[in-house]
Amino acid sequence: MQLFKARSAYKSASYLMLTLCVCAVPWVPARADDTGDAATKLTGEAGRDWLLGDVVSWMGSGDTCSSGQVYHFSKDKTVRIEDCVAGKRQVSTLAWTVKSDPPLDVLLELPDKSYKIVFYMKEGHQHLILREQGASKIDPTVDHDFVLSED
Amino acid sequence: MEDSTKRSWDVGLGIVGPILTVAGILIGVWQFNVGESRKAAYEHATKLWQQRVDTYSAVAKLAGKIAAPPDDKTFQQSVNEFMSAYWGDMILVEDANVEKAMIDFRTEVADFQQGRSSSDRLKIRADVLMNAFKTSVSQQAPQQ
Repeated sequence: MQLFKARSAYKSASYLMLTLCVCAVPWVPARADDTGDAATKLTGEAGRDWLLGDVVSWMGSGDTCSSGQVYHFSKDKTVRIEDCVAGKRQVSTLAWTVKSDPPLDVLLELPDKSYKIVFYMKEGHQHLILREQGASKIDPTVDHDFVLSED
Repeated sequence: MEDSTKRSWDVGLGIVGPILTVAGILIGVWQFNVGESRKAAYEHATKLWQQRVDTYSAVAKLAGKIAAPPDDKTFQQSVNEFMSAYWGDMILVEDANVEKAMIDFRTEVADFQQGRSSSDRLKIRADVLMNAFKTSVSQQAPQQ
């Protein structure tokens, strides 16, 4: 009986300790962009081009290209993806939405994929990361880092 | 009572008595074994649970130090220790929700180190992580 009481007391003390640890970290209101801000940042006033990597200008005239990928987000909730595959420009258009994933994340939802959105500034340029987060520790997290086209 | 009847009773009791005694001993041994088995299972579950609490507490302290570091040196040292626990002790004890919170916290730390996040966001991730610890501990407490 005494052993049982001692165990119960130990269990209670453990709970208390963990609770104190939680309380020791002050809660700070989220500063994260909400879905409206994220959508506005993606599209700007009418639409915006986001270039994969730090590529500034990479498409040639006509359908020929060397490399790269451009996401053009429009206000009408479509994204035009221009991809360079085997030296030829391929264009596809998809529907997009943004969704909140509390407490901090905003997700970009495409028909076949979902990405976490991260905006940041680097050397005066607006960057966008579309992040595919691994489902477990051993699955890689893949960041697609875009820079806002200044054109 | 006639002698033959009395004799029959004596023989009957002589046979049934030892059988009952042996059965009683066997039941007693069985009960003892069941009790010992339950006790061992409880003690094992308690030990694992305690190991989980200890590991969570240690990582919770590290997350707190990362979210609110007194200086840069402490921050980097805490991040290194957190990563050791991330790939070490935590794998032994964490459940799926805690694993997700660990991944989120680690990713936020990486973003913070590359200037893509803020101290406020780190604190919120730490809060989420510790709540995941609390839920995991309460859900998996050993039952007697």
